[in-house]
Amino acid sequence: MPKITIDGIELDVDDGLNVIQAAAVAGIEIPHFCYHPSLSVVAQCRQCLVEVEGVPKVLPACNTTVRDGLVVKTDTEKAFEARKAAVEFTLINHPLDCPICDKGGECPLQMTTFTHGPGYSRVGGPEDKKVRQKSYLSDRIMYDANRCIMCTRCVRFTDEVTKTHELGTTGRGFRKKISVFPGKTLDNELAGNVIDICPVGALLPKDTLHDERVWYMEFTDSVCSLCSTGCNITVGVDPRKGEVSRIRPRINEEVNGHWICDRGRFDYKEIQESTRLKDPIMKSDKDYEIASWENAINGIGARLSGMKSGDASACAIAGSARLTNEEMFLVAKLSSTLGDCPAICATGTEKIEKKFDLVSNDPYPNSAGARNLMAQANGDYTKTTIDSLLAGRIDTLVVIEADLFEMVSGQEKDALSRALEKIGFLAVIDYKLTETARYAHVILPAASSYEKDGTFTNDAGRVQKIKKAISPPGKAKPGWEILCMIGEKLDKALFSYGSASDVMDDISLKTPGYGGMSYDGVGTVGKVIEHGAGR
Amino acid sequence: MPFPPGLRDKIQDIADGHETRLSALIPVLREVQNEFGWLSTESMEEVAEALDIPASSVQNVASFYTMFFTEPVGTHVMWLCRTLSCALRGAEGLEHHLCKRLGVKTGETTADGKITFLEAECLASCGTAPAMLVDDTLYENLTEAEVDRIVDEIKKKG
Amino acid sequence: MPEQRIIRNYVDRTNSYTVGSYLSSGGYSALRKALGMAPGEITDAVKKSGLRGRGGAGFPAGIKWSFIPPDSKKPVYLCCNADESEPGSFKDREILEKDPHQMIEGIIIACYAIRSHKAYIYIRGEMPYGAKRIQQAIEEAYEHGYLGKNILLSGFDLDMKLYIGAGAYICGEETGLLESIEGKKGEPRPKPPFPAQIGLFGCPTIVNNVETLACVPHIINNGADWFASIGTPRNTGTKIFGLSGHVNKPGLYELPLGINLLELIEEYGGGTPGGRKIKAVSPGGSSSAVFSADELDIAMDFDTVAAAGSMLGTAGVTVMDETVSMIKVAQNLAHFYRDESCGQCVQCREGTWWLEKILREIDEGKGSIEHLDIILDACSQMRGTTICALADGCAMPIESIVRKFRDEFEEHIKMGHS
Repeated sequence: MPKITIDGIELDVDDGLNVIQAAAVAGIEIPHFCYHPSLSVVAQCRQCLVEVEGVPKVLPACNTTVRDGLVVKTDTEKAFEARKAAVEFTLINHPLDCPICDKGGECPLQMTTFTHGPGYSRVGGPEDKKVRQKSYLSDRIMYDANRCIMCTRCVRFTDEVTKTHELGTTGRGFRKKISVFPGKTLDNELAGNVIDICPVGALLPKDTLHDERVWYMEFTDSVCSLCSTGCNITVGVDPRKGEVSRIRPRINEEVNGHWICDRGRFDYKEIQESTRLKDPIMKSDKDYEIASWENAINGIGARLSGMKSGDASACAIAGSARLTNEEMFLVAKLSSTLGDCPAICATGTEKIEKKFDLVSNDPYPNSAGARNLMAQANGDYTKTTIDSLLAGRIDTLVVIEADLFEMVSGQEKDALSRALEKIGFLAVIDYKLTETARYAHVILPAASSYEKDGTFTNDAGRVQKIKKAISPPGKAKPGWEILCMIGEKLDKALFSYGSASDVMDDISLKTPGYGGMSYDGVGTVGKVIEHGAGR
Repeated sequence: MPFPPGLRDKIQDIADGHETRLSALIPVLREVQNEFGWLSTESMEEVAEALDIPASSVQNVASFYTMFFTEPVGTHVMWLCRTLSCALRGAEGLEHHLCKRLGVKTGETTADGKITFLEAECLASCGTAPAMLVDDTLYENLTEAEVDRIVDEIKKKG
Repeated sequence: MPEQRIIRNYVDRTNSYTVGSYLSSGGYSALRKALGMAPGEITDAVKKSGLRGRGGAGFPAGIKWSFIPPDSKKPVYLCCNADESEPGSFKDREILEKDPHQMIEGIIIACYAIRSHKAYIYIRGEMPYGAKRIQQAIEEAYEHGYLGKNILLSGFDLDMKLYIGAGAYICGEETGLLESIEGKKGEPRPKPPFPAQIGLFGCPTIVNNVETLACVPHIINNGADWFASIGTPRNTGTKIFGLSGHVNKPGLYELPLGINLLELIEEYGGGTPGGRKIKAVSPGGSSSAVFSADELDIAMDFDTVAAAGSMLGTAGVTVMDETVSMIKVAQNLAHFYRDESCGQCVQCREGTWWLEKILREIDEGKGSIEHLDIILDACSQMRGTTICALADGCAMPIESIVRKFRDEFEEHIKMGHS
């Protein structure tokens, strides 16, 4: 480990670090724009200039690798002047339109201007700057060449991370700009990440243009629920609008690094805008009616209590790997309380393939959890149960966050409709109106993954927390809470959990591989289940 | 416009003679430009395909180098040096003279499509300034009479 | 006083560019001799000769060669930098067009010394005539067995390839040149790593200037001591000086390093037209700080010119007489650097743009006195802060012009017109 000195602070640092990284270890922030820990070093923005003992010129910290005895000074007049000048040069043709720029308030250039800039402009007004056309790199991403400071992070992203090479720079010198080839667009599955890595407001999401201010937003650390990778995310909610308004990646080197895919980034709108269920609904003789939670739960409780002493095989619970570990555990518990009635779960493939090491072919966030927590969550069992359903042998069915029509083949859909039309009792718990729900006797509105607490176990066996970022709409409740309410009708003591975290504490006592797992232990970056469990 | 077979073969020959496909790019672009006079989007796409490199790389390189044209130019390209040694010996006057003579502004192509008139940066002919490169021919120690003669010659050549 | 011609000795001969002409004046005898030496001996001889790079930086060539790891597992490349684009410089073009074999022989010897088996000559696209001559010379060298397999039965193999640029000053920067040969934009690479470690295609590479390499056969033929005896102790050999601008006899003059600048202008260049007063001289290509009329009594060698606050650079001397507007000169140069900046580093991309804009406004009578301090501040922060020296090359002359001719600027600004 090389021993280095930064601003008089002596420290041992890992080999191979550059001075930006090493300084961070010492708590010293060196401003930079082009450097990004997951991209190659190009040393172009020249903002991270520091002095190195024995070298007459200032050096870019990003391209200076630590070595034993290295003495770096970030706080000399020469270094400050160099960084101040770098800000001035960077702003020469930057429009200074922060008040109308969506990046305002979270803009590295803006922050660096405050901390290192001269505080005044010697260039003149907007008429003294280059003016260039805004353009669209795709349907989703706008490029403002005026704001662009040519750090080329976005270009390197498409060259080095996705290797799709959509972006490049055209022209030379002051004419240079970011371009896509004529007729092409930036349309790979990870494209949205260029918005995050842009250190200015040059690349912005088109959908929310002039619609977002970071300082209004409240952020919650969570995990994406749209595939088995379990990318770590931050959910931004604008309380003025009372809805999720952005999803951004949260760094987790063990899972997603710095990136998320565009589905994870943009598809919250689909969840938010789909026909959300807001009230419990019960089917009366003629019609559907809004019901109170009490009546709805009582209705389900009464039906299941009746089953409890009867034939367990005439009853079934169906879920999907969209459920959290806590919900799966409660489903399994409900099943055993009902005399081991079948509890099946739709899961994704075990042969995981990923595009860009990120986008999984398993669309469920918790297939691994299902295999760990629902003993019956295997394809054969699910098929047998569906077959009994189709054969009319199941009379009482609870479906939670699953659509049976997605679990059967095309030819079986008609049979499923007929079976559900004749079924004695169907309760559906979901955040949206599924095809299955159309046959339900009771529908309970559930929270989406942005609206509840819980954990998912990703395809690498890492248990990660999702956190409630926003309240569910109307009277909807988190699935785990609904399952507890139903369970309490069967056995009050068994289902009296105060929170999802309490459920996890119980899971840790009873589930192989999950020993010692707790919300504290899972922390912000997750915790891998013990080897050999589950998968 | 798809490349004629002869050009395709030539591109493959050039590519084979280079250490990497990418390193053949500049010679290939020169060849394509010789054929069509400029580098169209379609041409750049064909080059990308022939060399198995991203189209963006082709566009980036084509737009970086001054001698590649990503817009159509005239049959002949006239590069008048504007840099210091030529400027000290009257390049600016020649530029005005040529613009007037050709009826264009610097950077434009004559109405008959014959001559595109451009400023060049130092042509390494400072000792024989002012200088001008027309296509592959360097003209040195220029005077107004000399450039008139050159323009006449080109116009005659067609 | 006549020139002391070594490299330019045969340029005036008819067909000087052909292998026949070259052979008739003893060409390729140095190669024969070199192939009988150990590679290390050649590097030592070049070190001992004191030969300093003729491309601008003046770095000792032999020392540069010795940076190549002698046990490199990867192939080693040598690139001859024939991208002569520095305003005021036109010395390499003559060698390329009129005596290319001299340079090719130098390349072969250099390759043997650094154990390279592949050499590139990177010529700028604006020299189609030179390119034709070089291509012909390479072919002749192959035909005569100076290139290819088992050169002169020595067991040494070398291939040589001509690579033609497409118009970018920045490709004269050695890593910009390597990027260009690799088929990319000629954007200089951050250093470290240096080309001797990671150069062309990721392999150890030496980049040498045309004139530097043309010196090599003469050093081998006549000995390091002979070369070192020309010029001054730390600035050995002859140098091809280019005279341009306001002189009666512009052109190339090969003279020992250390020749007096005034003597060069007056004796060789024949003074200024009409005997007008000299106002300023750019001593080493446009990137060098200009000298004012009272600074011209100076020895033209790397160290003396550097000590005087400028640089010998390419030794392209541009003379400006009293009729010249230094504001226009500064603006002309800023325009050049602005257009030739590759655009990677902010100080260069924006700084050259800013300088050009301010200087143009001053020239157009829209300037203010504060602009002069902005120019000086910008220049000072464009120096030593970027990946390559292009920004320095813009800042040095402009800073010197504004400092040395500040009165002219101020007067012009106050008059409010050009």
